[in-house]
Amino acid sequence: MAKFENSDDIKIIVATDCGSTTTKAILIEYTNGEYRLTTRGEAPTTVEAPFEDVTMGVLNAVAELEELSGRKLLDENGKFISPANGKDGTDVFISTSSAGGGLQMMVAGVVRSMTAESAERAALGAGAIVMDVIASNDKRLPHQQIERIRQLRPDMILLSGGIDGGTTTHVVEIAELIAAADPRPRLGSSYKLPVIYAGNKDAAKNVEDTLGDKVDLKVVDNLRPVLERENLLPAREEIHELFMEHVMAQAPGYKKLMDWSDAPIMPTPGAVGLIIQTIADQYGIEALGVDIGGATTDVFSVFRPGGKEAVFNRTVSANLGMSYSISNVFAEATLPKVMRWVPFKMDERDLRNRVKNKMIRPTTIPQSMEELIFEQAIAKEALRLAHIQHKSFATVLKGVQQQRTIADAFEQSSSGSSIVNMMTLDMLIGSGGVLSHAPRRQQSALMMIDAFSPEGITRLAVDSIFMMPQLGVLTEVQPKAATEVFEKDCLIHLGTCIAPVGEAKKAVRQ
Amino acid sequence: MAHAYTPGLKVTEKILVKKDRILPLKGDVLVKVGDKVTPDDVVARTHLPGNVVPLNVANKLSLPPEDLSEVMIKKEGDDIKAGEPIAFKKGFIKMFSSECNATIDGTLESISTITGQVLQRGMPIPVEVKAYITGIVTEVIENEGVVIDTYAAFVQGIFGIGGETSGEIVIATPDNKTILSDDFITDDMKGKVVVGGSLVTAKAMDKAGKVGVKGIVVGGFDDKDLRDILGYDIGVAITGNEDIETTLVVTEGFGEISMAHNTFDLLKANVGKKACINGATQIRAGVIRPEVVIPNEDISIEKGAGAKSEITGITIGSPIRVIRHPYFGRLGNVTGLPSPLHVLESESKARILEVEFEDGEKAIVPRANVEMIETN
Repeated sequence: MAKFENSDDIKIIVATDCGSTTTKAILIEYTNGEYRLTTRGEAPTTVEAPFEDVTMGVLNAVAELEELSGRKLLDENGKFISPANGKDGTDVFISTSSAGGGLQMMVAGVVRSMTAESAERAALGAGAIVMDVIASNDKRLPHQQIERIRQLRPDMILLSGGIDGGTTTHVVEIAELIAAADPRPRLGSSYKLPVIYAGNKDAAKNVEDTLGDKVDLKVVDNLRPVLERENLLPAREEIHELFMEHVMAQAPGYKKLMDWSDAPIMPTPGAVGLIIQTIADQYGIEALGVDIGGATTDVFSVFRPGGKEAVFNRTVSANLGMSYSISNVFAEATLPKVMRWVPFKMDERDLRNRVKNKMIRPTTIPQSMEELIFEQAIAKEALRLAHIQHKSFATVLKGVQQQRTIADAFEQSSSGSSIVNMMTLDMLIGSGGVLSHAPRRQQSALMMIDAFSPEGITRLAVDSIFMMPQLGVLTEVQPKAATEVFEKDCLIHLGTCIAPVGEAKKAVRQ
Repeated sequence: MAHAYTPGLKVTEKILVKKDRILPLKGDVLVKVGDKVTPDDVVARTHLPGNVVPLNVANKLSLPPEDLSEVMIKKEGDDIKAGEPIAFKKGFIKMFSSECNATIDGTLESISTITGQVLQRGMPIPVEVKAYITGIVTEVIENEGVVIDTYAAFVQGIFGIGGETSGEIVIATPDNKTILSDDFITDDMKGKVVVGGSLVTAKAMDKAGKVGVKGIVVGGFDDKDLRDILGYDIGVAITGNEDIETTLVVTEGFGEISMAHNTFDLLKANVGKKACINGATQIRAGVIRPEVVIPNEDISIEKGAGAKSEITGITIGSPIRVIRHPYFGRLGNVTGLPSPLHVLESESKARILEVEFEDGEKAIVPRANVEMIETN
């Protein structure tokens, strides 16, 4: 593939996102002085049997692009024609992936609400699903923790603990538990499980002595070098590196896909996080994005607590989704909470059976209006619950001593308070089938308003065809194209929500 | 000709069923290629490493961790017995000496002079894999397990609970529509796989468990009863490890839904034969459906047999089942497959098909809301 020294020379871009069920391809072309999405295509993902080669689905999706755009992208050997030449070829090809379950990680730290939480934030920000968080104070006995580590078959482990120069014993204890569990990687047993150590630098040698022979250990800078500051970037970069090196390389067909791609393949949620961060930075706004899928709901946010530096957070609500996990949404939200959004009566027994039937046949769609209203009611609750989880995770750092003045005495904000401030939020972006494909746009707006309760003035938008992942990875190659397409073709602006907040005056009888 | 493909559940009189019976860790395979096996035969065996129990010996003996090696009586890799001393700290006088005892039987895994922690590994845990079906071993995967082939009648369910079991088939209800209530469960059904009609009640499940029924195969099941039986609500459809007496295989879905005729008739035709059933369900990537496998009594495997039938997809005339309201559970035949998108009552646009139900009624249904009744 062609490499460009100047990213402005990139005029034609093909980007794919290999999801669990569908591989989506987009074609971006530079025409009339701007980058625009011109064509999209999709095909079933082919990572599982009987195909077991992800590139087949990619080629099928790209073939659809060719058919619809009239641009010949692949040569007779099924390889990309690059660089673009007139009506043929593409300048770059990039891809994201969440096929085969995405990136599944376990994280460990010493104190659950401090280093373990920072490690969780690093893993989530890199686009991982965090299977479990092990900490010295997580109330499980050591043998229970070992058993749990052994049962989980993560793609990698992120281990942190202690500030630089602090005590080394606790983090080495956790390393000993991991060594005793002798964890195996999820994909294939031909390689050692990658473990990233991002804890107290003084303990690195001891951790190496403990784990070195059993796992593939990588040591990076401490992600919590001092209590008052997180340093998540080195750990996140190492996660991406290992994702490519180990996880992707084990998945069927990915070696070929990695060869084709002009930028490292990124986990889908990691790429979505990147585009949201890019947009928030570029426009200097606070943004909150949500992607509601069949099994999980991801929430991404960029807030600037106290008007200072932008802080990015991502959470995955693993069992809040609209098909595979719909029954769990119903169970967690409870019937009365769902039914408050439904303006007619429905029989409880029948409703419960309908929810379970959607769970066991996840690809069905609402045919009647009654079914649509009920499904959107459940979506509101899934979004609301995911938002609550996000708020409780996106906090100022815990365990930090705060200096208070007398003026703060009455405002009892504690260490660990949420940085999600709906009053200062500028933009709320929705994505995922139930929001992007609602028959009426106002239904999408209502779902987001009811679930998130925006305050003050908030712009509402949805991702038209869920192309945020492709645009996220595009920011690494051609940021201008990514933001232009995001603004012009990806986002559908639904309107502005104005929600005054304050104490209402008591009504006075005249 | 226009066609669509919506995979359905397989219900077939004869199919080559292949089962991988693999150990969770490498171990010993106890059978060889060509051996005939029955469901309860153990085909492979291994030992999982024992549980690890940490013991902070340095803390117990009030020592700095770096001095630990000086007091350890047992070394890494030594066998240990619960109550036996593994470390001893000498005092100036005997009264001030102290010792630390092993808390489990097993081996001493590691001694850490950084944390003062000693890891004790319990005795290995034996694990056995059974054949699950009657058949012939056609492949041995060295140290891992075997592949067993059998010709069988096969019914794929939509949802189930409980694990692998087997028993003789008995039909409990007069037809595919009748609800399987507790009145139909009798003592002579002990050890059997019982087939019912449109629903099994919670009382019937309870009685089946008490009688010792191995499994129930039925059209529908009520979500409320499922919650009552399990004591919790299933959030995601990943099942198979429930602690219940009777494995349940639901063929159609939740609610009262008649079992499809061909499923009921197939099970009826196999009364008295041994059925191997599994309720395990996983509706995620790598989908697993519950199943009823009824191996042929003659289990010889014909060479070259079992070639996969070609998947043709839904075409005009294909038998289908609607899998969502408002026509949920109804069976019919496809009469049209128009290409353009159609606006549904919900105002969503979707590709649809035209169907004629068994009673002659015609309807339009989104293609996503039907599944093919696969018979090959």
